[in-house]
Amino acid sequence: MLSKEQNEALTRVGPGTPMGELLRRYWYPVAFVRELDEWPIKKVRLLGEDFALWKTPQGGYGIMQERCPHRHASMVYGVVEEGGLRCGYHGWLFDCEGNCTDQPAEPEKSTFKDNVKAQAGKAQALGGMVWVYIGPDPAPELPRFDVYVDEGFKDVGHSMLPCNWLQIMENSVDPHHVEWLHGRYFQFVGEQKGFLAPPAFQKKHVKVGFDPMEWGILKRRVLEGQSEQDDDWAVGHPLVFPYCMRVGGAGIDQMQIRVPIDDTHTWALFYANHHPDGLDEYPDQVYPTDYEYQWIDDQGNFIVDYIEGQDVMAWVTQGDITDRTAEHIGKSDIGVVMLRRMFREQMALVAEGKDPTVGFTREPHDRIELPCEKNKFGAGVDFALAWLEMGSSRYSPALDILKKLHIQAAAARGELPGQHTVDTPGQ
Amino acid sequence: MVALRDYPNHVEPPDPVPDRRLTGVHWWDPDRLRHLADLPRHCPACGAELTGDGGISVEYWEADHRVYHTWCRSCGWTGDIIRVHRMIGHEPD
Ligand code: FES
Ligand SMILES: [Fe+2]
Ligand SMILES: [Zn+2]
Repeated sequence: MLSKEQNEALTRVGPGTPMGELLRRYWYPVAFVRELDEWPIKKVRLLGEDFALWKTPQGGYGIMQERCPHRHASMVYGVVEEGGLRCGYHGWLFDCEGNCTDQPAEPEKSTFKDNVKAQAGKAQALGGMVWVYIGPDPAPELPRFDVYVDEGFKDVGHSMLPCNWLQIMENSVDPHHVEWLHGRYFQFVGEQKGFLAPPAFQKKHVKVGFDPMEWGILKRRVLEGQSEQDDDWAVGHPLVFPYCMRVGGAGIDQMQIRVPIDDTHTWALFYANHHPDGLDEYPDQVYPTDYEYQWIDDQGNFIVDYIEGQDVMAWVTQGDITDRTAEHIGKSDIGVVMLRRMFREQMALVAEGKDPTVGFTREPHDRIELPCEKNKFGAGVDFALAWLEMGSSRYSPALDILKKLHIQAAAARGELPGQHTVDTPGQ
Repeated sequence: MVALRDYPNHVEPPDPVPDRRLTGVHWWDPDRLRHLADLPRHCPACGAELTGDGGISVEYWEADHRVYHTWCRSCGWTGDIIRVHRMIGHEPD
């Protein structure tokens, strides 16, 4: 349970709020490279503010406030030029730094434009997505995590969800939910609908552990029948502060990305890189495959017969911003308790004018490897196939390509489907 | 909650809902208010205020005990404060 004021402080993401200030120290993906190749301007909402994102003719990206500083028409309906983004209404031109460099209707010698500055951020591409930074200068490095830079076949499901990002993050330090939401509840849904839910998810958690690390919180678990020598405990997988979680196994590496759009909306992406052992060539991709996963049906009910759909149900039904003054948390929720403290500590650093110390770097780098179990789930092709069919990738237009890729890799390894028992995927 | 029926997947984010949280009277209010009243307000080590941006205290339950996991921004003290109603030895978790 939290006081009302702490709940407010931890969930408000707008400009000038303590959490909003902390979150403005990080880069966020806000578009697919593909989208801006198809149409070079996109409206973006991030942390409660609206922006126009554009691709420059030179191949870079710019992001500025959506409203033109002149008389507030939307820059999303502007003209992309070499010099920047020009407002469609009266033609004011802004460069990538937000400087106003042309006001066609003003007298030629006027210095008026030198007195106008738009709010501008920074933008760059990584892993087929466009990432932006809208915080104070100097911007930190965009962390180039393994999933985004490694070779492989990339598949990204995404959807806009009507809830605050923090309740999704709290789910990432809540290992016990796996045996209930994806175990017992999945089994119940299967019994009602007539399918066999994966029994492996029903395994009991014997022990869970949480260790703070430079990128977030490393989550470990011992399941029934396992020991501390198993990857689930020995390696674990991290919550990546402040808005991601890294999971994987069997040649699939996934980043779960939760972009705080505003206080009550989160863009939730499942970004997966498929690179099973046994393959060194992957099907050609100009861009990562991107698609929306479905989470609500025509009747307005949540779609709960797949893993991520179950998670979405849990995140969204807690309420747009869950009322933590009325919750009852216990010993099995200490990961959540620890995460709230970590956010508070990092907010305090930023309020004192310092850099955050978690999930943040100013060191230039090529690739950051995150710890993540490899030899869990039996590590075989059966797990990969189950992941594809019981996860959000069941909505992927590349589903058949992905299955084929994992089966080919298994054949190259001399492994046949059905040889392994599928162990519990951790979410 | 938004009316989910009216919320197709492929839309731009609608405007944030107006602030209408934590303001209504809930049927669980008496219990909630009792718990809120018990939250530690000062750091056990340095006495600084924990409210506002002074730190954080999160209540969780351990069997019959209520535990306040607490961090003080002033002195950095981090620990659990346990509210005790009755002293009992050899109690299982
Ligand atoms: S048992 Fe955890 S939300 Fe109901
Ligand atoms: Fe989950
Ligand atoms: Zn103190």
